[in-house]
Amino acid sequence: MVIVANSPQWFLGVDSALEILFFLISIAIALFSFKIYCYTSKKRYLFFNLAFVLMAFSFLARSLTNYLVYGAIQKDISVAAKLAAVSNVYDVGFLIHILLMLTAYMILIALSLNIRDVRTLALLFLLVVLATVISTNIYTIYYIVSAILLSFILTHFYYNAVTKSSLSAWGVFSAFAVLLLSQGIFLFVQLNRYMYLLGHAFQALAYLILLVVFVMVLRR
Amino acid sequence: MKRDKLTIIHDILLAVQRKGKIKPTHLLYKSNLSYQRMKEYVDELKQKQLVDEIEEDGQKLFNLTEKGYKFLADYTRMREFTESFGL
Repeated sequence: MVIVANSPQWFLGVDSALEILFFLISIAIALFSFKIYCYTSKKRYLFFNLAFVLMAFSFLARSLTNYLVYGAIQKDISVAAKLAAVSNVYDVGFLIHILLMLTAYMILIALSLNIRDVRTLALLFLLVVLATVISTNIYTIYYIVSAILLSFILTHFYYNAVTKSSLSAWGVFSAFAVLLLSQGIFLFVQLNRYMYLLGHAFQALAYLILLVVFVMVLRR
Repeated sequence: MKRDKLTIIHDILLAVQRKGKIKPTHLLYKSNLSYQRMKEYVDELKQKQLVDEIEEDGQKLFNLTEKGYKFLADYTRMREFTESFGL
């Protein structure tokens, strides 16, 4: 179904570690949103929490998949046996990763664009997920769809930053802008092995900006 | 400007904190809400254990719980968080 990471050898494993870092940052943001939900009972905060929980577990699935795949690749067995071992793990792991991530983005889209009609949301969700999952090139389509969804989410963060003109609001906008850029870079992974590294570097930068914003919020 | 739920809860709890113990009529005036809306909010805050209802000399009063003080301490952070993400 997909090509296993076209990456420099030394980077295999580092990507798994970075994904664990993204998992932790997403969980921290989700927990804080859940705390606000507990005080206010406003569903908006619960859905925001859910979006970041899904993102977190999406990264965890990706990290575990990569860890298992790299473990199998390094075993002293034939190439055919290695391929047989990693193929199913990678396919299932990547599918779980994209399903969770796309659901998270759809929730953020619903919050950003204020979509309240469940039928509209269900239709959008089915179109996005089905178009991605049944595609013959799931890897490319996933990053294209992610980039489209993120660009809509980004417009919300842009208008929010312009309205609030606070450093943290601009921080969130910058983080999602860098995240969008990373999705664009991941599209070219099959052309150059350093693209995988660069995509992760930009993704790491995006999550580090989110972490800085979160720490700024906590220090208020 | 229309206040969101987080701000209304903050305004109610701040009014209670400033007075120590506050009468429902005084809280109604301070919270700037209709009687019905204030009652709904106070019931919710009691259920969430952010305020306590006590009785002194036959008079019903509200005071802040430990959790209520914690909310006020966390409010700036929560406000900053919701504003950062445009929630």
